[in-house]
Amino acid sequence: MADDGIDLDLTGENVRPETLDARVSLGLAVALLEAVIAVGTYEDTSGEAPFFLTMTEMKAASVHLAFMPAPARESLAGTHAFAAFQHAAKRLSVYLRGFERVPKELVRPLDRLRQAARTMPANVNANARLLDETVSLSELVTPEIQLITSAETLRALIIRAGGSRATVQLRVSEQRTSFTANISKELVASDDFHVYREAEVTGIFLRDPRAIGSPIVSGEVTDVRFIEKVDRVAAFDKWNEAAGRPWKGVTDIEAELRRRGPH
Amino acid sequence: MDPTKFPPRLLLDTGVFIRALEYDSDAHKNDPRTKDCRDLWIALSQTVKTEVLVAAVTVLEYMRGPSGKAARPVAPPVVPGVIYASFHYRVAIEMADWATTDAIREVRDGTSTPRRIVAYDALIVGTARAYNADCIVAYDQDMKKLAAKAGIDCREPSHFRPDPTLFRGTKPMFPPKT
Repeated sequence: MADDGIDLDLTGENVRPETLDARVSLGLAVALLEAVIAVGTYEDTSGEAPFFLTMTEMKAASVHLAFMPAPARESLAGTHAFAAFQHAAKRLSVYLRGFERVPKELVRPLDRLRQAARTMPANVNANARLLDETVSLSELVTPEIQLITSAETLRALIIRAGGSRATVQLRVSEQRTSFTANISKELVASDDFHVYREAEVTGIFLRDPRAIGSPIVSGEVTDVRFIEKVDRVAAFDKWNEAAGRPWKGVTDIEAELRRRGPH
Repeated sequence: MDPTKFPPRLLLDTGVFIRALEYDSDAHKNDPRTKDCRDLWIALSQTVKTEVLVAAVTVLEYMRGPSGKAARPVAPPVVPGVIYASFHYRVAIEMADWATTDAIREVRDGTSTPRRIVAYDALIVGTARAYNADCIVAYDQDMKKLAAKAGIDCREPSHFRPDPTLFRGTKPMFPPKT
């Protein structure tokens, strides 16, 4: 199996090319390829996927199909087409796993893929290998997981930012894997914006309740405040002064906090 | 202060946080508690091993100020090692376990503190727990009781001073009888 293309494996008891309706198996393959192309089209600024997919392997022992990207036009560099394909394959995996809401432009091709998966006989396990990630197409018939939406401010390291649809890759200490969130181009383009810097990041984040710790899988960043590498004692003293030292004359702070209460 | 006593992550209660900033005002110059708060604040800033949590509720309490004296609306600095811990749905879910109405009433009973204020303190303790704080630093007695209910260690700032018996050359004034 190649790690740089797409594999579609249909396995299960008595699953062989001659026992499976070719319209169904090839229909699933076509729906999968169309979904990759649709994501490639959606993600590319030109409005057209810079690659198409060629079949590279078809094994008779089981139902195994393998595909590779190729530049859509001769004028396109192979590396650009391949990078675009890689990006599309990764994004498709994210959408199929329900880690992000599916953009309306992609609803139809992804529904077609789900429908194609639903028409497979019950004994068939359909697995698509997109680059190095395997997605069970048989499980796509189950509804998308319900992610938890939460407005939060996080301390995060900004690993990467940019793209035609601006996104930012963030790492937070509470979870092992980084995640990507949408962000406005204005924020990324501002002079203060830097990658490889820690920041207080505010936004609406989607958390996966099935995993331990309900990790963030995606979201939308609305504000970023970068950490100032300054003497923090001096920084807070300066802030206290700038705020007008509201607590300056209060002797018993605990009693005052207790007296006035939360209102 | 003794940095070896610092846990990886601690939360400063509002009173401790404000005292650390108001160390030089006339109202606090001779208050040993305020000196402890300031010394702890400085010592914490000199270590990279301990993260300091400041609850969003604490920022609100500071900004609202005492009666008739609200702070100017200036955002607090974003600096390494200090994390503003917000109250969000995960904090709420975790709090539901221990911050029950009965638990809040139990903490309030026998004190003159209104229950709504204890509930407010509980938000700070809940934030500390949801953000995996190892310890809350506070003077407030209700805060200590709430921290016990939430299963979090709660200490006064003086706890982080070096143990006097560990000073080089000092001997116990009253050695144990052998």
